Amino acid sequence: MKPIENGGPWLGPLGRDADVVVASRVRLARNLAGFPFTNRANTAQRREVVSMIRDRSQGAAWGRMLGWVDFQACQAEQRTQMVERHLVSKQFAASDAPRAVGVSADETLSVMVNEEDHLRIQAMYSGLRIDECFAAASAFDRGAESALDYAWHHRWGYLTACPTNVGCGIRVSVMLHLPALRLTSELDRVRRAAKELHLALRGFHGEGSEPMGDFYQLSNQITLGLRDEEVVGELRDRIIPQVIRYERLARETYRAKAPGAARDRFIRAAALLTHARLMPLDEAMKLLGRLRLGIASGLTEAIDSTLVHRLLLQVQPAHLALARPGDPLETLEQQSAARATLLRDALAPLRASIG
Amino acid sequence: MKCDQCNKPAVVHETVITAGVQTTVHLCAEHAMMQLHHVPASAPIAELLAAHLTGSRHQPACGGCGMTLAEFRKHNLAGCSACFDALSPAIDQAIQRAQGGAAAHCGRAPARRDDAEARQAYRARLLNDLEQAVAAERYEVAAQVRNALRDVDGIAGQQA
Ligand SMILES: [Zn+2]
Ligand SMILES: [Zn+2]
Repeated sequence: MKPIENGGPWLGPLGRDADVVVASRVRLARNLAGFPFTNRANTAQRREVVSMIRDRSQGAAWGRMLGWVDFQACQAEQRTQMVERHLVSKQFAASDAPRAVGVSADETLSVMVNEEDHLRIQAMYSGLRIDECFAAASAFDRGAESALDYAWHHRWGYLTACPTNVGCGIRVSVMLHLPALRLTSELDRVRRAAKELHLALRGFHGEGSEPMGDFYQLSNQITLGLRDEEVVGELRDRIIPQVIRYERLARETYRAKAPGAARDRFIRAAALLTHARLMPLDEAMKLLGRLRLGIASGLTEAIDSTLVHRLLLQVQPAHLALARPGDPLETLEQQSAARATLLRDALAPLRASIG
Repeated sequence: MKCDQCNKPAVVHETVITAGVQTTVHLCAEHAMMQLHHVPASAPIAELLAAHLTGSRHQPACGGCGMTLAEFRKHNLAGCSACFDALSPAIDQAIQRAQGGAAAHCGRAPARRDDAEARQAYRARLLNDLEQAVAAERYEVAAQVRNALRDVDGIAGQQA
């Protein structure tokens, strides 16, 4: 398989609430009965788990859409690129043990084998589309459970290595863009409220990552004692709409208080992105975030958020490197220069519009 | 101080409030272990006992993968399906702590399961849990256990 040729699920239709919501994801954690979990399995057992899951899914209608990548045989840059695209986790990419990932052609479905659990089934779509993610992940899950014996416990439900995932094994996360909540120092309140509701607010790349460009992932922490539909419904109907309202209110407040500043921040970001010769990653993320806020606030029609989402991926190190075969980016400065060139080219329509 | 139920020295001393009446219980390790199943998992008695066991020589280990309680505590990861029974009740507490106090799974179950016997045992245990939860006035837990019971009966009904 040649992974990552097209744009991926982020670049799908923006959908409703796209001013705040970037993408939705649902992940199901499952293990096979009769094998130790990944942390206790030896090399032979891990290999057997990989081939069992891959073989059964390849021959079946529910799993045929996946192209499989053997991660042990995979180049370092390709591994990193898949992390940057949220197709695999950092821990998965860093491990040396036998493991594989199946990815659908449109990259909306990916199945990691031998992450912390034997199976991590995840579906991702642009915009606020939790239901579609849940449906896609569940379809694969139901197919898989008809062909494989899942580890199950009469009290704890679907068994997972970590106690934080037992029960229904579901993690719903929504990637949110919350620049105004941070600007108005309201983000800590959101974080506290989230904690009380047993939700986690994390950075761009999930667990342990720093917030970059004001992008955050909000996800459920409780997987036991609730039906998976309840977890989905709670976030979809109650939590996410509330955070969206809160962010919009903060944006309005900020604009009303300092209309000139909102416009100035956008113009400055646009000017830097369309003129700079060196662009470090964190600065690129920050400025692209400001661009996204400007688009959502109606400050430009020269570009749309889909382009910003594409650039958020393309400016990442492995994406940059793999887009320039035969031109190794050996130093950080070379990387920054390549990033700046990419941004100047892609944002040419914006440069023309801000004069 | 001797155990309430035998002549061995008591290692667990705990004040329990049952239906508004306060009593102090003194138990040896063995009797405390037996009592454990009848005490809400968050009660100090369980933690005391777990601490006592961790410090002692005869550590429980999982027959399936060899995981000991100390190893589980260190990484907070179970090693296989059998760990969930072998390392009980310590693992039960870890799960409930991580899961905001939730008592049991409810909702979907895999289609391919052959465990009518386990289900009956589980049902009995749930009924017991329900009684305990109501007695301790832990109504949120009681509601969850009731849901779990409904699910168990639902699955049995589908398969019958
Ligand atoms: Zn005794
Ligand atoms: Zn085990």
